[in-house]
Amino acid sequence: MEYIEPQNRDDKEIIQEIKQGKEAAMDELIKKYQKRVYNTLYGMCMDYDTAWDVSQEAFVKVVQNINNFRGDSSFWTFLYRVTMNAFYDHKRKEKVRGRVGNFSDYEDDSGERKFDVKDAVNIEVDFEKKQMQEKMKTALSSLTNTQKEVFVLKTTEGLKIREIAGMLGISEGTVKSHLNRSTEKIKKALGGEAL
Amino acid sequence: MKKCTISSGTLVDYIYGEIDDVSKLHEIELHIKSCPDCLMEIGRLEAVKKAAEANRVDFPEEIWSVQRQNILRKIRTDAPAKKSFGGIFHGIFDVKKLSLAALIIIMAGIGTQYYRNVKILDEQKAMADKMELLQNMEIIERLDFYEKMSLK
Repeated sequence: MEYIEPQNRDDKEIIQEIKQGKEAAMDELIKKYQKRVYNTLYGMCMDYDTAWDVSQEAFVKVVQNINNFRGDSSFWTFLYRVTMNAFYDHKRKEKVRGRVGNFSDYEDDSGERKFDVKDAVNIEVDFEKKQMQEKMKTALSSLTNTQKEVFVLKTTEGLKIREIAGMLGISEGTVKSHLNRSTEKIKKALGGEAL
Repeated sequence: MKKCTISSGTLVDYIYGEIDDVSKLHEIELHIKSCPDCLMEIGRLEAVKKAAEANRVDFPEEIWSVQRQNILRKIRTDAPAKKSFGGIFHGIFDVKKLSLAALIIIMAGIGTQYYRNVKILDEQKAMADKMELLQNMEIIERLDFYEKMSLK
């Protein structure tokens, strides 16, 4: 799947306008990256609703902290870090919510969403595919966070190992090792279906 | 598992397109054709890759648009609240003014404490002088008494 960018405007130009408070620029930036952010998150958790809620949170945080982006790295790297932090925060909150029940500080985002995201998925998921997705979800949950990030960046984003190393701030050798282990685990989990 | 020289890591690199060296790539391709184990392993790895790639989700444009509107609404509602809080904070608790006030309070405290200490020391000194005077008077009285007794 190719990500078609709505406009070819440079990120820096759009960000400059966001810093000036232009809402149209915010909309443009979100439009440019929302599919990548959503799919990265979906790859991490394989849950439509979580990916939806966290991607919204991530964009809100990015716009609110846009002044912290100095352009030393690419905007995608900055956005990816914010997204992953939002994702791990969300997971921590979910864990706490699971322990303490319906605590008022940890409100359920689904009330705000008002619909189930999976109802909007524009694909007929057949039984076989659903089974495969379930196996993939189980396999992903057995991976460490870094293994999962490496695997998703490789398969969903199609990034090169050196690019992943740059984004995660780890060595290429470590990325390779994580990629091998995650692929091996998922291969085993998919079993017969993978053949 | 395999009786060949190609490692499973190399096969992973191969399916993810990480082999840039053309001669090495050619060597691997030739090997795969002649090695049933590697061919089977490549099939499994390709299936993993395809399954992961099939996980990509897309929605109709209206759904993406709803998400953008939600995000912008959240940004709008969060921003003024933050700004006004910041404004109040800035107006009442100006950092420079706060620091100056804290410095004045600390200096005043030190000054008061110093004044109290000096006063206490003066009082103690006066008391010690009085005590010494009383003791001296008592000694003189005793000496007078012994003198009178010896004269008798």
